[in-house]
Amino acid sequence: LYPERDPESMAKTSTDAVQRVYLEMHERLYRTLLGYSGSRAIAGDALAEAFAQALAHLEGIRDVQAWVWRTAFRIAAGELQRRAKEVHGELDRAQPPTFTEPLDHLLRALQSISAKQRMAVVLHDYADLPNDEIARVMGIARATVYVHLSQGRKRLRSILEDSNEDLG
Amino acid sequence: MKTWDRDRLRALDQAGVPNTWPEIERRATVAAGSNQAVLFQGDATSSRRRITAMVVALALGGASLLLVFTVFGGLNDGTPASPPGIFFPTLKEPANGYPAALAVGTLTNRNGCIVLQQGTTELLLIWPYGTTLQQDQTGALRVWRSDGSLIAKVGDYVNIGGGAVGEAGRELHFVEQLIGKSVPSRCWVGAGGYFMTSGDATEPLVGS
Repeated sequence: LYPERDPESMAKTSTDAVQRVYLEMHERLYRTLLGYSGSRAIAGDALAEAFAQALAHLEGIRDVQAWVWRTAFRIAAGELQRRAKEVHGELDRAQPPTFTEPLDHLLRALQSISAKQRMAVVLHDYADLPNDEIARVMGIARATVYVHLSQGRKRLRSILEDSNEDLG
Repeated sequence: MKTWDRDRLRALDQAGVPNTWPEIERRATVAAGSNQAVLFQGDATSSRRRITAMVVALALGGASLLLVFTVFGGLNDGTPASPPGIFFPTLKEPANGYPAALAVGTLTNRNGCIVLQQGTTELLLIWPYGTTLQQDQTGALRVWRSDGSLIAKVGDYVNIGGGAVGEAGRELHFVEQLIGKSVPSRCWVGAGGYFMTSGDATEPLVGS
């Protein structure tokens, strides 16, 4: 009935578009999620679930890249919250991550600041996302992003310098 | 006073990145159902393409039939896409507006009913038309809007918009009219009541 529409080729085109976005940004997204969550499991799960849902709901998504960032961080935030409740705030302390230095040092410092500060810092200073997009990912006003970013940087710098002095 | 050096974050570049694409494809297939499985048949032969086209045609035909029944209220059971055994009521048709109240609590799967747990009381949530509940391979349940955006994950502590529905003593009857099906007795709620949500949820972040 509709010879010009080949469902398989249309589906494949859509999949290819999402896969291109994946290839372009999954490393940066994964590492940003890792910086935020401190957990390989959460970072990998949030990334995989966000892309999977993008594939499954592609027709309703205008900007796949922005959508995946928002969804992945929302999933990661929810998972962090769930785990924190389950272990009464003792997230990952019973099983500290085994990363090599200086990554381990950085991740521990990041876990010492608030979740919103951490999200603002990694999205801005590592992922280089535009401020408007950071505000959308975090679900807050752009001006509030600056507040979290400023406070997060200040605390993180203090923590990293203190620990460097201890090491020295 | 020293300035912040963002290059400190470059240590994240050390982290190895797993190839999650196969897992993404697998999850997407589960999420989208059998009619989307064709997305991932890379080098299909012409024979396989014909089979795929038939499957797609059958799926589209089935979807069209379902749509017709839904429009006329024939098959709409209020649970367009929820895992087996879980009651996930949605409005049987799009709403023009929602109450503007706010409910706060933990989205909980209580005995196969998705409720908002508020201490010892709970609200049975009535979701907007087109909302779906999906379960991933880890068992996690997530609520999605019809446009594919995430509302929340079961287990999240959320602030959610909407309002209580029905007059005292008649709530259940009213809810069943809204969703076009019966509410199983295991999902009847007591003191909390029934809450028609707009699906606008925010979740406080950890440590904030």
